[in-house]
Amino acid sequence: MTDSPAPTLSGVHHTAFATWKPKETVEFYRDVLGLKPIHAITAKGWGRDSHPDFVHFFFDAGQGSAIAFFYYIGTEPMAQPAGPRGYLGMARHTAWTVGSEAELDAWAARLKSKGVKVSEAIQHEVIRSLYFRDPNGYPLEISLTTRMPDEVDAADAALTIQAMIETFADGPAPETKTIEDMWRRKGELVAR
Amino acid sequence: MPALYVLSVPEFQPLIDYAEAAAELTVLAQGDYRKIECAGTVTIPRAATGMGQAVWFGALVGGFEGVILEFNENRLMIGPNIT
Repeated sequence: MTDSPAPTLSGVHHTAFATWKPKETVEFYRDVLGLKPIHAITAKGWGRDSHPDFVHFFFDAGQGSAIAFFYYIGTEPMAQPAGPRGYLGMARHTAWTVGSEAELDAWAARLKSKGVKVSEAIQHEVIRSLYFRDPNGYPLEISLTTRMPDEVDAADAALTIQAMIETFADGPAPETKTIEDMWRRKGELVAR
Repeated sequence: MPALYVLSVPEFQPLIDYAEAAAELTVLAQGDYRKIECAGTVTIPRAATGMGQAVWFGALVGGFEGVILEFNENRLMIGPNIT
């Protein structure tokens, strides 16, 4: 029996986050980043006792995508909505794209001029990125694609993923494995 | 023999360029990769490659053979398997 192909996705419509700083959040996204508020929903919960009343508001992030927030009225704020400081709090982040080096430079200049603490541009393999945080602590990134990954990159990624799964998800004691074991397995796969 | 596999893409080209210029290292074609090997220890100093840290610390993504003796912001050293 053959599996029919999955339907396609056309990009990000929106991602959404909780906030207990509605004023600061609006001032940051609307005024500092200059993203237009394009939609706002206000609702009396969803009719369930435990669901708080809320405001759900959206900012235009370009190309039909939006970043959105829920302000849950009367609820106890989470101490660290973005998660703990450090790598765990950086894992779930939003990275927007820009179309040119000049635009990336312009964002760095704008963020600095508005008093936002922003990283230097970091060159990764195929993107160059600025890093900063919103008033809620959510990590944000603005990236310029410096090389579009092609089929060679995809084939390499497939081998890396295979090495990862074989190293860490199988075997009698995967917790004893290290990244060195994974890289050695990758070498075996590449050598085939 | 210790070896480093490097995907042949522009961001990792400095590793290949360094190896081709280093007398003790040999560079062999291996599909979309280059195999950098050495009769002794594969040693690549980051400064000589001009690579930024964010890419440098991904230098082993192509895989390797042997034992990692050192891999930090200054240097990558891969030695032979201990048998």
